[in-house]
Amino acid sequence: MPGEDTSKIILHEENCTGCRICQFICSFTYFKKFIPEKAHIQVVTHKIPPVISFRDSCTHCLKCVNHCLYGALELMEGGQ
Amino acid sequence: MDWNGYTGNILTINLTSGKISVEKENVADLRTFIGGIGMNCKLAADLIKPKTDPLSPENVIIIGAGPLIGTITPGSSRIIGISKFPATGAIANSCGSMSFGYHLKQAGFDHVVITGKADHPVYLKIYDDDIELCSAEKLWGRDINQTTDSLRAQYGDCGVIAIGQAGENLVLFSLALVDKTSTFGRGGLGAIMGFKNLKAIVTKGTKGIDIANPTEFMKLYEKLLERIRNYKHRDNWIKLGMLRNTPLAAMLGARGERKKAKQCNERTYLKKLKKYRFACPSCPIGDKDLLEIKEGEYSGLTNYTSSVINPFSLFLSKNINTYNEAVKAFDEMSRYGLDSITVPALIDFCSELYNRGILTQEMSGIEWKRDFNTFIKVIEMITKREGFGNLLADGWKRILEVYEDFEKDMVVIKGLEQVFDPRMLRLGTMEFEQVVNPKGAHVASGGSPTYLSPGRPLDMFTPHFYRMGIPESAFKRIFSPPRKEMGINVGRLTRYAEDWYTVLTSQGLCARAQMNRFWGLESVTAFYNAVTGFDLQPADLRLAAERTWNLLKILNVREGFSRKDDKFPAQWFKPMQFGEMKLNFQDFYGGIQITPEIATQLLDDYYDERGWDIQTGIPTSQKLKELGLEKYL
Repeated sequence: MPGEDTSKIILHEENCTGCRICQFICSFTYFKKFIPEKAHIQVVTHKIPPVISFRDSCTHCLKCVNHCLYGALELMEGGQ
Repeated sequence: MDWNGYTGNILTINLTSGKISVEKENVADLRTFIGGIGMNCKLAADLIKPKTDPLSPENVIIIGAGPLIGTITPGSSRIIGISKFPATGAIANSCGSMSFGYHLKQAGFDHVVITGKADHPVYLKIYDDDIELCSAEKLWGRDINQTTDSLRAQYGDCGVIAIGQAGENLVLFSLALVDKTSTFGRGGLGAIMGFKNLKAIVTKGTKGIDIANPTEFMKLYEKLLERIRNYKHRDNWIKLGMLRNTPLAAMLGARGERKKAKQCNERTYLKKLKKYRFACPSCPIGDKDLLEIKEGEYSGLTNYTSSVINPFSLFLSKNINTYNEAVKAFDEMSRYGLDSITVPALIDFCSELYNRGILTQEMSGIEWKRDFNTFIKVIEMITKREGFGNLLADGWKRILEVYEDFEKDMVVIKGLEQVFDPRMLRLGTMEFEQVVNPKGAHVASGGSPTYLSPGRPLDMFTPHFYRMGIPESAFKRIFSPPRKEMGINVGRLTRYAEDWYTVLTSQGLCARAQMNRFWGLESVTAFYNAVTGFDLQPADLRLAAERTWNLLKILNVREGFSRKDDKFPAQWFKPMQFGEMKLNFQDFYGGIQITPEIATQLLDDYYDERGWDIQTGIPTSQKLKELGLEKYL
C-alpha cells in the first residue's frame, strides 16, 4: 500500500536474477512507459548478486514485491 | 508519428569515415518486414552488395532488436545480427540474448548498421544520444571477459558485445559474446568485427519504451504471467536450466563412457559447479549460468555461459575426461571468442585422420593425443594462428582446399560442422534444418515438436501445429512422409518450423523450449498489436515471416547458393560406431533407415512446401511475386 515503509520489504539479493521485472512494472505504473532507469526500485544487474536499492521517491506500493518471480523481494510478515 | 514498441530509429556508423547518422524507419517497411529479423533482412538486401568479401570494409554488420524488446513482455531480449559470414560465405542471421537489446532499445534504436573499417582499434559507444567511436587500443589483445569488465567499470550497467583475440586474429569461426555470456555470430562475426578493428559495442539506454495500448497490454501480460507462474516445471527449469532437457548423460552412457556420464549430471552441476543463476531482462524462467570450479588445479575459475550444457557438451570429446577440464576448456574458448562447437569438431576430425595415418605429425606439427593438454594446445594454436593452427583457423572450407581428399570424412554443411547428428538423435526438423538453412549447419531455426522427444505420438503434434500457426491445409501434407511408417514429413514441417522461428525472432522473443511453449501465433500477434498499435492479423505475421525467410534465401541465391549446397553429409548414411552400438541414420520414429533416395525426397518436399523450384532449390518467380520480392533477385 502507498505509504508503507520499504524497511518492510526484505531483500533476498542472492535470489535476484537481474531480470528487471520489478523495474519494468514500477516504471510502467508510475510513468506509463517501460523506463526502468526512472523506476523507484533500482537493480545493478552486472553485479553478482545484483544490488537492489530504492529511491527516496518510492511510494511503497509493493508492485515490485508482487511481481518478483524469483523471491528476491519479500514483504515482512504483517507489513501489508 | 508516435512510435510504440519500435523506437523508429536506425543508427548507422561508417567506421572508415567516422560518420554517425540516424534514419527514421519507414512504417510501410515495418508492415512488410516485421521487427528484428525482418528488417535485418531488408536492410541486408539494400546494403550488402552481392559477392562482397566478408572480410572487407564493404561488408555490413546489422544488429536488430525487435519491437517487444525493452518491455516487460516475458522473454523479450533476443537480438539478431546479420552479415556475410567468412566461415561459409553465406549471408546469415545469428541470435544473442542478455542485456544488449534491452539497452539498445532504451537508448532509442531498433537497428545498428556498421559499415567500413576503422584505421585503429575502436569500440562503439551508444549511450542514448551520446554516440561515439572510442579508442580501443588498450582493449586490443585482451579477452572478452577483460574487455567487458573494463567497459562496465567505466559505464556501469550496460550491454556489451565484445570479441576476443580469436576475432582480432581473424579466425574465421570466431564469434562475439554478449555480456560475456551469450554467443553471438556463429560463422565468424568475431572475425568480421576484428577485420573492422571494432573490439566492442557498448550500449546503455535511459529513454524508455512507449506502449500503444497499455490497458490491453497489461491484460495480456497478467494472463500470460499467470500461466508461467503456474507452470509446474518452472522451478525445475530455473534450478537446472537447459541441463533439464539434455540427453548428454544418456549419450555418454550409451557410448560406454560411464565415468563421464556420472559427472555430466544434476549432482555435479549443483554441488560442484553452479555458482549463480541469472536471467535476461524480462525473463520469468531464467537459465543463464555463472559456474565456478570449486576444487583442483583450476579452483576459483569462473565462467559465464548461456547454459552448463555448453561445457558439458565437451564431454563428447575424447580429449576431455573431467568436468573441471570441460569448464576450463570451454572457458578458454569463450574468453578468446572461439566457437566451442567448431573447435572440438576440428580436433576430433584431425585426431581421427591422424590415427588412420592420413594426417601426419610432419603435416600438422603436433601429435594428436586424445588428452586435455592437446585440446588446450590446439585452442592456443588456432587463436594465435600458430603453425597448423593457421590453417585450422581458416575453417573447414580452407582445409578442404588444401586437402580435398578430406571431404568424405567431414560432417560439414556449407562450411559449418553439424551441431546435431541425426544418427544419434534421429531425423527431426532440428537435424534436417541443418541441411537447408542458408547459414549452414545450425539448429536454432529448426525447433518443432520433433525437438522434444523422438517418437512422440502423432496426435501430440496437432495442437502444436495450431499454436505455431501452421495452416490446416498443410496438416495432411505434413502427415504424408515418403514412407508411411515415418509418420511425419520433416521436410515439409521444417518450412513451418523456420517460419515460426522467424515470427519469434521478428519480435525479439526467446525461442528456447521453456519459453517457446507459452507462445502461439495468435498471442504473439496480440502482444505485437498492443505494443505497437498496429492492427495485424495472425496471418499477416505468418506471411511476413515467410517473406523474410524467402528474402534471406534470395540474398544467398545472389551469392551463388542453390540446391547443390543443401547436401546431406555422406557420413550420415554410414553407420556410426557408438560404444558397442552401431547407429544408423533413422527417421524420427526410428522405424525407417534414411537412404539417399528418402533424403532426396524430403528435400524435394521441403522446396515444394516452400513453393520453390525443386530442381534448383530457389524461390520461383511466382513465389517472389506473391511475396512482393521480385525486385530483390
